[in-house]
Amino acid sequence: MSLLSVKNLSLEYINNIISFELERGELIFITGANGSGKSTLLRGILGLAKILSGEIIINKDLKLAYVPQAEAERTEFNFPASIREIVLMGRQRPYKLFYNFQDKQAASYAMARFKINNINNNLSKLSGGQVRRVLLARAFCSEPDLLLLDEPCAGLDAQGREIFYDYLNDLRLNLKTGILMVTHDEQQDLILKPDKVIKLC
Amino acid sequence: MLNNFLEFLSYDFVIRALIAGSLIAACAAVLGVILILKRYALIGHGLSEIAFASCSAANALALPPLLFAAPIVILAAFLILFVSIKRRIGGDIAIAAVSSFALALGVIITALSSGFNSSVYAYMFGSILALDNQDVMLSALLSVFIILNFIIFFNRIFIMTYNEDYAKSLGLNVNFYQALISLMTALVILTGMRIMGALLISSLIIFPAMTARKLASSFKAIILISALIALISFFAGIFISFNYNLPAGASIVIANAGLFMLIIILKNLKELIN
Repeated sequence: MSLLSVKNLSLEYINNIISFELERGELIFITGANGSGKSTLLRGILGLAKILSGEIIINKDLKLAYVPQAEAERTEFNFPASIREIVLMGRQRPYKLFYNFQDKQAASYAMARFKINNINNNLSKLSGGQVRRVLLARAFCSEPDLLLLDEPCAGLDAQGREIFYDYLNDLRLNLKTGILMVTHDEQQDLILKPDKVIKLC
Repeated sequence: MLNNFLEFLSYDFVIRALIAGSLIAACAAVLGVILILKRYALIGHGLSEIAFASCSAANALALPPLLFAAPIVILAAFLILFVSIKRRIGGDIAIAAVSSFALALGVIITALSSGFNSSVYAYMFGSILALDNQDVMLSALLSVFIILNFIIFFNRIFIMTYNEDYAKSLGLNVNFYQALISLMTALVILTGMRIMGALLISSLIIFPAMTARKLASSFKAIILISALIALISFFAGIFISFNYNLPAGASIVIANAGLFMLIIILKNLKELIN
């Protein structure tokens, strides 16, 4: 059975009827012009956007991680939370109340890999690119089965992109994470070599 | 002055007031952090006025006020939080409209029935020194309930407060935690009203969280500091109230406001020096 199967899906703000399957270890790009509904598609899969017709089949027990556009959490940037607390959120599961040693280790590993320092700082003290690293670390530290990324490289510098590509390939090869990624960047086709590209219009 | 205060502490009714009051103040402060971060700071105010209207009605009908008011206030808390989220109505507008209506209703009911007697006055401005053992038990039970919830669900409440969409994407039941927060807020208002009065109880929710926010950069720290500030202001307020023979509820609010301003001034001074 595939990791995620989308059949004849129709969502608000999207003109296309969408169907695709995502297998373990696969990477699918979602491209399209501004306003074509790329983010809405991800939100639909997460149950955050209204489904008009069609279906999304996804195993409830899968570990799912989501990196929203930074703008989606901009209002939260003044939130009194430390970077450490934000990244640890990624380790939350529906039946988990407390974080254990493993969770803390996984979060530390992801923060170190993304070269995030001052982990006790407030999120509001970071630049846009640094916030992006924090949001990526939060998703990656969860060791997900299914990863949904919304323009993950926006605001990242060259070093950040390098780390991101490397880490993403790790998840894909070693954990067989299935990845759905919204992107505008043609170059990423060459670097990440997606299995499929879905173009919305 | 201190000797008199120590003597004051030897009375049972004073001890009861201190125990119940400090528990409620700390609980309100912890909940307050969530409410101000979710921009529902005014909900306490709205609910307390609804509680006042219910208590006046109970008074007029000769029914037990707290038992009569509890279901109404809890229902109102659910309605305000859920309606404003689902329908995207500004929380502040909904609360302002509902609360002024409720306050007016309470005043009318009071005028039509017994008039402004001492028990109505007590609901408006509180009567901390008139607490009985039952009040102390009630506030103790309530604080255990709230503190346990905060310990058990801390991480989820944090994620929910931070961003509801993100919480949903993690598979958390956002409605459940929303309902839990509404319930806890309603209960704090109901118990706290006896102490602070309907007109002042919301300050216990807003002030400590506001002050703590100036001092902490992590969520865990802000919660703990908020509770600590609530306790300091509560005891300072009681001390002021005793020494200058002032109403307790109002003195606690003044202590809270004073502490907030002191922190702001110290913070600005520190920045000036740096």
